Amino acid sequence: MMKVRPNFSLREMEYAEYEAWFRQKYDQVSLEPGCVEIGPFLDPTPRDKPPWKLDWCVRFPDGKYLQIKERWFPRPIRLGGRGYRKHFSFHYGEANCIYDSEGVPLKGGDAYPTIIRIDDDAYGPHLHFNGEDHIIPNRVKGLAIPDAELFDFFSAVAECRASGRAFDKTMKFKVAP
Amino acid sequence: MPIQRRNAATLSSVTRQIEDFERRYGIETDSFIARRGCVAEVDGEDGTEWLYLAEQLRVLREAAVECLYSSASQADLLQNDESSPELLAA
Repeated sequence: MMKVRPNFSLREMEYAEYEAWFRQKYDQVSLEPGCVEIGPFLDPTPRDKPPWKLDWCVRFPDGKYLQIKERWFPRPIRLGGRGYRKHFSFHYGEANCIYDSEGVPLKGGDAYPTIIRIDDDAYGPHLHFNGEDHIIPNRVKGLAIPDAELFDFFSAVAECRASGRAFDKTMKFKVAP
Repeated sequence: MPIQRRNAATLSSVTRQIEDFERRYGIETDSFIARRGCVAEVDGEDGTEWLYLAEQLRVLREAAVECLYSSASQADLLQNDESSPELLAA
């Protein structure tokens, strides 16, 4: 039986470890009634090696949606060739009513504002929150952006939706001016 | 909903997607791969997707070359192995 790593701050994994970890956590997820789920899609490149990607979207009945993307790249063979998470995007916000071919809401600019998005992409790790874009990590206290874990984000979305509390209160972070 | 897999990425499917990006943005993925580690030339979400495709392309090409190389070496080995005629026949 594959040993499942308990902590997402782990920087490197084999695809099989990642899939086992994801399945274990995903089994504990429960969605509120009326949600439409697209995925999760776990797509390794052939032979179950990096790069691989995860895409997962949940459309909520009140017109909001959650979208999770992770992109895992291979380390060089001389460093073991395992996968590491190079890019990710965890988004929650208002959903465009126009979808792509899989049912994921298209980005709609200001008409469909982001409530929160945690990203690590070509710009490096950053946060979109409270109408502000590309908030750099040293302005964010209490949230280690590069280590953000998708199921923690999913739980925070569920908790905020249930309680009506803001994300910074639920996730216990502060954005410095 | 159960966890799903899309169709496996193949050299031709990834190449097709890369060509779409190249047409749309006027970029050259091969020169990007050759430079390795440079900043993306396409911004935002599309940039992330293109970087991923470029990495897939690189890995799939390496796998294809490895595969060709290993079949060639296997054939060479069999042809040179005069002590195993039954293996050659197989």
